[in-house]
Amino acid sequence: MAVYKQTYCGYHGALTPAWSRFLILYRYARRAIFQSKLLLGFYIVGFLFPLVDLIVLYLSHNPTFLNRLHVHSFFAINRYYFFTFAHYQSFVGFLFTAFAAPGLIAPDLANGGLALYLSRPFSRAEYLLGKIAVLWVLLSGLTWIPGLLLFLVQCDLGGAAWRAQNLWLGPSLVAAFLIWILVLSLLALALSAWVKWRIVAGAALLGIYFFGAGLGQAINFVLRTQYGSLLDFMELHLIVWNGLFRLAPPPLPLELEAWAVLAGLALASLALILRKVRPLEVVR
Amino acid sequence: MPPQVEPAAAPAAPAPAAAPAVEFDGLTVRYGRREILHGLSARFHGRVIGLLGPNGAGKSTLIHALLGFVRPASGCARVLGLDAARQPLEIRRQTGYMPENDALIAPMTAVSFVRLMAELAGLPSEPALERAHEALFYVGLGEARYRKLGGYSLGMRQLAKLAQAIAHGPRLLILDEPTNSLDPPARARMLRLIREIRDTGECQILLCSHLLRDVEETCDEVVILKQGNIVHHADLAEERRSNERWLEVEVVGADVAGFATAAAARGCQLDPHVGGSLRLRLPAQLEVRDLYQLAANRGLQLRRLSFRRDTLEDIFLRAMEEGS
Repeated sequence: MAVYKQTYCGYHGALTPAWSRFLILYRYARRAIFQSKLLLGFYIVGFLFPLVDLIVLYLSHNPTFLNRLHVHSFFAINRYYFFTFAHYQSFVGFLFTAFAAPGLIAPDLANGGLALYLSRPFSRAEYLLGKIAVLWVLLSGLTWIPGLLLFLVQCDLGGAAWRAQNLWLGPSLVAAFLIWILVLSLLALALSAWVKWRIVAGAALLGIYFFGAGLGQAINFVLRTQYGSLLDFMELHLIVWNGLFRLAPPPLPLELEAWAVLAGLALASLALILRKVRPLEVVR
Repeated sequence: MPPQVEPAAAPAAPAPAAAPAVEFDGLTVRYGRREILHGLSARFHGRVIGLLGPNGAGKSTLIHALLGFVRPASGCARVLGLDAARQPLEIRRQTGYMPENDALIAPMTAVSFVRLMAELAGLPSEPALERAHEALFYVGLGEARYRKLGGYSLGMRQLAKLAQAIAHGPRLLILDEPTNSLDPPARARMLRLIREIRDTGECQILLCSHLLRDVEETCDEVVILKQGNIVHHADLAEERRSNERWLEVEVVGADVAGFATAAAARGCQLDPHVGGSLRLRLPAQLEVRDLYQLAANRGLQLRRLSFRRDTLEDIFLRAMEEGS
């Protein structure tokens, strides 16, 4: 079908493997996100805190620096250090998701584009995988990958004694972030698919974060209970992370309930996405 | 690094050479409790198959069943010899679909959109880009290919939808109302493109439309749906050939009924659907001068006699009447 020939002809060339086609959506979606200078800038700024942490970590082990300050230790590098890192980076990641995720599915649904995507040799699962992979990769870059790097640097600088005591911290850090990424990405895509309007979907995600936190606190205060924390998206994760980072001896209050709510939230989001991501909408 | 490409370009499960483009066997489709298609059975071999029917006849549902979007409640549909329920991905690899509704991703440029669709159909990135350019030039959007789809006019959107449907070189092209919202020049262009694609012989086309003229201009086989049933299935080329023996005759005189009876006795087939003049089909052994002779024997005059082709509209209206 050469341009100058101006005629139709079939395609008889090579084909890409079927398993790899979800990566096409990943590639296009990532490009669409970084076409926005605001999001690109925000993503780069997201590495500021890990960089500061890395400097702090280095200086804590630098005898020259410590001697100049006339202190024995500059900053305690322990589970609280990594917990603080996780808490801060998850907030940065959440803000990034609130602006990036709504544009992943909403435009396809709003424009009726799913009939075209799914009229290709391409399943709903691959579509979803392609879209969610963008969030997984970009959020991993902001969260557990720099966290793990910090942990490895600390393992090297902290010496064998620190390593022996805190080796569990690395897997805990990664697990904490992976749970957070999974739940957040499913929730964000579900809102994007449900609302079909990217601005409203972003606002809804921010609303769940801030309004949920406020409502949870109000319930806790008025009813003198702790169950209001289960409405707070970040608090849910902090409860789970308290266990993973061994910040308090077990049993932790509401830990089981928090796990259950997170699992329920992830499943409900997945169900909503699967309900919305269809080639045609049947009005019964 | 882009994924490695598979050298196998041939279909994974090749259909038999003589397999019909589309085939149904007792196909029943339900949405909830509502039955939309009622046990359809037919086979279509034509180069361009017209799918006709009034609104709500089940045309789009039929297309969705062919693409595997909906599972049949019973029976099966086959496309290019492949079972739509069991091999939907293989069918989708070999078909191009142009939906009726607006289905373009507004923030994308036409070239990146068509390229994306070609890549999703399995083409590696570079050939997909090359064919996206070619397809857009072919449909007449070459100069506008770097513009965002959101800024396209309705006619341009229809052409962009056609471009994405043909970019990966399908063996079957499914066009759902391709001339919707087009002005006369754009409609003529769309029909010309359909005829050109048909004439290359590389691709069969299933054209779904409620515009009889579009179907008549492009199709060689037609199926008419009404309320989920096939009420007529015709080979248009064959119908046109048989139409060469149809005559419309205006008879003046007292015994017109006698003339009709005598003509029928001589083997003429009379069409009861035409009011006023007589419409009859000459059998092979009868010539036009025999009709004059019949009229003269009864003292009648033949005022007007013309060969009359059955238009698709006649076929359609008759099918609608018979269907009810």
